[in-house]
Amino acid sequence: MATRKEHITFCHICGNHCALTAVVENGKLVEVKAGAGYPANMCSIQKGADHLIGTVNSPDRLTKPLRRVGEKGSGKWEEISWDEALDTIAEKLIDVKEKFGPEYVIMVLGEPKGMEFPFAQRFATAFGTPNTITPGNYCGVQSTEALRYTFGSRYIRARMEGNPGLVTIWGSNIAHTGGTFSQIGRNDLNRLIVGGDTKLVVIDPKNIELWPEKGMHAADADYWLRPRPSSDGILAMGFIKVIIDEKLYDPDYIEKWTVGFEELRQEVATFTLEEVEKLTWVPKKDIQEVARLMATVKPALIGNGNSLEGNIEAFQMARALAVLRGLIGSVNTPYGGLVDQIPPNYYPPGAFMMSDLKEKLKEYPRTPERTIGGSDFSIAAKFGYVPTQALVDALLTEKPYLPKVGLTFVNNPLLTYADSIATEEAFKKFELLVVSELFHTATTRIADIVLPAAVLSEYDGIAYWPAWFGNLRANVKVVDPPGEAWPDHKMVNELAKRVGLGQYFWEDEIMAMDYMLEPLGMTWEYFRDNVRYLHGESLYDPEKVIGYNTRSGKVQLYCEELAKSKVDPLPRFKDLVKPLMGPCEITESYPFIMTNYKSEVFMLSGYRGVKELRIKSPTPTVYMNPDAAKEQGFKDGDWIYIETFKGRIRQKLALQPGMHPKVVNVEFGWGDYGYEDANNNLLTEYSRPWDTATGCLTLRGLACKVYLAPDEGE
Amino acid sequence: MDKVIRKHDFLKLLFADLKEKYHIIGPTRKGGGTSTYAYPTFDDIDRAIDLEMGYTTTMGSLKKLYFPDNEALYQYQRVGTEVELVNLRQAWDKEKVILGLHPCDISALAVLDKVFGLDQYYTDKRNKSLIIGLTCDSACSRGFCSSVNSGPDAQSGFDLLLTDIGDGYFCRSGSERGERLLSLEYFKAAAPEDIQARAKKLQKTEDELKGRFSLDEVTSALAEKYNDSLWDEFADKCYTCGACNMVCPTCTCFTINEKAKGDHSQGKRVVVWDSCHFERFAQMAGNFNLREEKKSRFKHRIYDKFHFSLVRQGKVSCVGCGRCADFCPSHIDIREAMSRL
Repeated sequence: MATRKEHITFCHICGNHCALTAVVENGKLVEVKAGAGYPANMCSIQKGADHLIGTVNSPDRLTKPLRRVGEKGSGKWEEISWDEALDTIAEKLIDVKEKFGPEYVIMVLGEPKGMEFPFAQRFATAFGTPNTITPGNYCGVQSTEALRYTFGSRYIRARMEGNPGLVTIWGSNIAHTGGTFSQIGRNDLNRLIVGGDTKLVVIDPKNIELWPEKGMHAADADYWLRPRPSSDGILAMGFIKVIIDEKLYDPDYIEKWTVGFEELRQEVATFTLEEVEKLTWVPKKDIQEVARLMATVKPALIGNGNSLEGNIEAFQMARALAVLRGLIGSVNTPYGGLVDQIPPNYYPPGAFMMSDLKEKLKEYPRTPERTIGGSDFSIAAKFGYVPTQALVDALLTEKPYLPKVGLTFVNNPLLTYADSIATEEAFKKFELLVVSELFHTATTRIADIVLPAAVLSEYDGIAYWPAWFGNLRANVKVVDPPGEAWPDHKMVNELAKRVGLGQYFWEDEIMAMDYMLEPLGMTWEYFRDNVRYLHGESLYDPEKVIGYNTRSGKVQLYCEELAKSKVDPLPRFKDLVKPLMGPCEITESYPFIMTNYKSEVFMLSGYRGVKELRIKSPTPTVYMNPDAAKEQGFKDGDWIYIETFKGRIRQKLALQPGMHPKVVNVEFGWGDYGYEDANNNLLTEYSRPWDTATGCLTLRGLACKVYLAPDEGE
Repeated sequence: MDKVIRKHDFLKLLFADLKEKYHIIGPTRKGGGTSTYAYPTFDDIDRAIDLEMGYTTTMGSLKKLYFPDNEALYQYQRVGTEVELVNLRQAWDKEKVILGLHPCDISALAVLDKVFGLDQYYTDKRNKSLIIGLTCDSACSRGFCSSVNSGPDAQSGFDLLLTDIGDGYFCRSGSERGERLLSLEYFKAAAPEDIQARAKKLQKTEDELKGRFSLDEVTSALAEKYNDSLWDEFADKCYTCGACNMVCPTCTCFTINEKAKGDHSQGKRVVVWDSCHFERFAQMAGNFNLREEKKSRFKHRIYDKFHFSLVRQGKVSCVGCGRCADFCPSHIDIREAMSRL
C-alpha cells in the first residue's frame, strides 16, 4: 500500500532557512512546500523545493567512496569501502602528525550547512591543527564582528514588528538569496510596502527584484542608489558626514550612550561630499536626502547583505555601516529599528568545538606561529578561521610550510576561492586531498579520495547557522541518503575514532546532538518531535535604551579594543578609498567596473547539475545597462567576454535598464557542469593586498573591459 | 474567419508588419537570471527571437499593463502659498499588440473591464490593444480553466486566436480588426485537416487538465458552507503573504499611498496593489478590523472570486489560470478546496 508522509524541516539553500513541509511517498520525496506554522519568508520556496527534490532524487549523486586511480585530475576512480577510505585517511593523518606536526593537516570548510562545521572545528582542536580554512574572510565575519565591536553583540536583528518608518536594504537580494544579516524578511517587507508608511531605500548596483510576484524592483523604491562597487564604506561615511554636519543626531543620546563622537566628527571633516559623490557615483543630493531620512525617520533600520564584504577594507566598511547605525540611535533604543536578542541556550559552535578541549588547546595552541597566514589576520584568528587565500599562498610559496593533507567539507574551492587557476595549482600540491561532496565538482576532479555526502533531509541534524540569527532548527531526516552516502559530521566522528581521538567524540552523532542541546535541558529526540524551532528573545524595551554589551557599555563609534588588534579604531575615509585603487581603477583599457551577484536559482557554486534548478537558469548571465551595451555594439542575449587584468570569462548578456552604465554585473558560481569559461574567479586575484583584520580580498570592483564572444557551446 | 499561417511567416512577415504599426508585448525570458527568467513574463518584444510562444504559464499576468502597480496618479507641490497639481497618468502613444495571451488571461481581461471600465485611461489602453491570443499547447500543472469556462478554447475577447498545429498556427478571428489582419496575403485558407488538427490539440489540452470540478456545485456549496471547518484547515497553511493576489490576473484591489518628500513640499499619489490577505486590508477608522482573523481573510478571497462576483456580476471572477497555487508557498490549491467543498 502506498505510504504518504509529511515532515516539517528547514530549507538550507539560502540564508533564510524557511520552514518546509517535505512530502514523501513510498520513500521518495515528491513535494516540498512551506512548513505550516513555522517561519517561512516566502523567498523562492519554489527554489527550495526544486533544490531539495532535485538533489535527493538526482541520478548524479555520489554514492560510494572513490579513490583516484589515474593521474590527478584524470577523472579515473575506483570504488572503495568506507573502512578502506577512512583507514587510508587516518593512516596518512597519523603519519603526517608524527613526521611534521598536526598543523600540516588542513580542514577546508565551507558555509556551514548542518553539524559538519562544529564537528570539523572540534576535530581540528583535538587533532591539534589551527588551520581551519573557512570562507569567513568574505562571508559574514566583517558585518557581524563590526556589530560586535560597535554594539557588543552580533545577534542584532531588525525589529520588523515595530513597523519601521525607514528600511534600507544595502547589498542584499532579499527576495531570492536570503535576507540581510539583520533578518529583514520578504514577508514583513511586503506588508510595509503596501502599508505606505515606510520609506524604502535600496542600495545596490543591480535593479534587484523586491517583490517578484508583484513585479516590483529596486527602481520602484523611494530611493535606489547605485554606488560604484566597493565604494559602500565611503557612501556610509558620506551619510555620517551629512548627519553630523547638519546636526541631525540626538545630542543627548550621543553624549550618554556613545563613545568616540569627537573622533568621528574630526574624521568626517577630512573629506567633502563632492569627493564622496565622485568616488561613489551617488549624487550628492541623494546622499543628503537619504542621510536626512536615516537620521529623522523612526524607527529606521539599515540591513546589509554580505555582498559588501568583497573588498580589502571590508571590515572598516562594515564598521562604517555600524557607526552609521549607532549615530542615528537605531540599535537598542525605544525608537530604533534594530534590537539585540538572546539566542537559545545551547552549546553554540564555538563552545562545542573548543570549550571542553582546553587541554588540547594548551597542547596545540592556535597561535600565529603554528598557523598558516601567521599573524596577518587579527580578527580572523579570534574567530577561529584562516582566510582562504592564506592556504593557497602557503601551498604555492611553501611558506611558512607546505601543508600535506586537505580535508574538504561542503565547499568547492576551485570555483569559489579567488583566482581559480592559482587555487587549482595550489590544491594539487596536497599529498592527500580528501573531498566530501554530493556531486562531482571542479574540486573532486583533483581529489585523491572522494567521499559521498548526504544532504540535509537525508539525516537528522541541528541547524544553527547563521549563528547570529539566534535560532535553532531541527532538520529532520525525510528520506534515506543514496547508496552509501554519509552525513559529513558522521565522517568526522568516525575519522576521529580512527586517529585515536575517540574520547573527544561520540559513539554516534545523535549523542553529539544531545550534548549540544544539553543546556536547554532537552534531548535531540525531544527537540525534533516537540520543539522543532527556537528563536532568540528580543531585548527590546519601549521605555528605555537597554544598553550595550561592549566594554564601555556604550556604542563604540571609536573602538579602543580594535587598536589592540592592530586595527584602526575608526573607519577612515582615506582607507575606505583603497578598494577603488590599483586593479580597480578605471583606465582606457579597462573602462568598466566588474561586480558580481549570486545566482537567484542556485546556491553559490552548488547544484549546477540539478536539472530542476538548471532548467530555470540554464546559462551564466551578465548584466549591463542597455545604452552602455549598445555603445559596445552588444544586443540582449549576445555572449560577451569580461576581462580584468587577471583573465577573462564568457557570459550571456542581459540588459537591465537603470543600471549604472559603468557597471558590468557578472554571475558568480559557474564552472561546473558546463561553462568552465564563465567562472567568475578567473577574474580575481588571490595575492595581496588583503584586509589584514579579516582576510578579505578584492572580489568585486575590478576594472574590466567587455567585448563580443563567440556563442558556440551554448 | 479561420485561416492558417506558417510559423516562418508568422515570425518573419507578420511580426515585421505588426512591429511597424504596434508596440509588441509577448511572453519572453529576455532580461536574465531572475524569477522573470525562471518564468517567462509579458514584456516588450523587439525581436521575434525573444518570443517564447511555447510557454505554459507566466508568474505575473498581463494586468500590470492595464492596471500597473505603483502607478503615480498625480504630483502635488507647494508653490508659494498655492498648491500645484500635475497629472502623472500617461496614455499610450502607440497602439500595442499583445501576442500569445492564453485563453484564461483573455477571460481575465473581461473581468478587469468590469472593474475599470469607467476609468478613461484604462479604456483608452484597452482600445489601443490588439489581442492575438494563443491556445495552450498543453495543460499547465495547476490550471483549471475548463472548470470555470475560460479555456482551453476561447470564444471572445480576442482579435485573433492562434493554435499551434505543428508547422503553422491556426488563426481564428474574433473581431473586425482580426478579420482585416487575416486578409494579409500570408494567411492561407484553413483546410479541413487544419480544423481537425486544432480540435485535436484543444481536446488533448482539455484531457490533460486535472482536478476538474463542477462550477454549479461549487457555487451552491459556497452559499451554504460559509462556516465550514474546512476554512480553518486551509487558513492554517496560509502565510498571508499575498503572493496569490499579486499573480492573480483578476485581483484588482489596490490602496493609495502618498509618497511625499521629507518636508512635504512635494509628493505623489500612487496606486499600489494590495492584498486582502494582509491584516490591515480591512482595517477601518476607529481601529475596527472587519477581517482580523486569518481564516476570514482566506475565505474572503475565495468568496470574492466564486460567490460575490457571481451574485453581483453574474459570473465568477476566477479564470482558472492556476497561478495562485503555483506561487503559493504552501501550495494551497483552489482545486482541492473546490473538490472538498
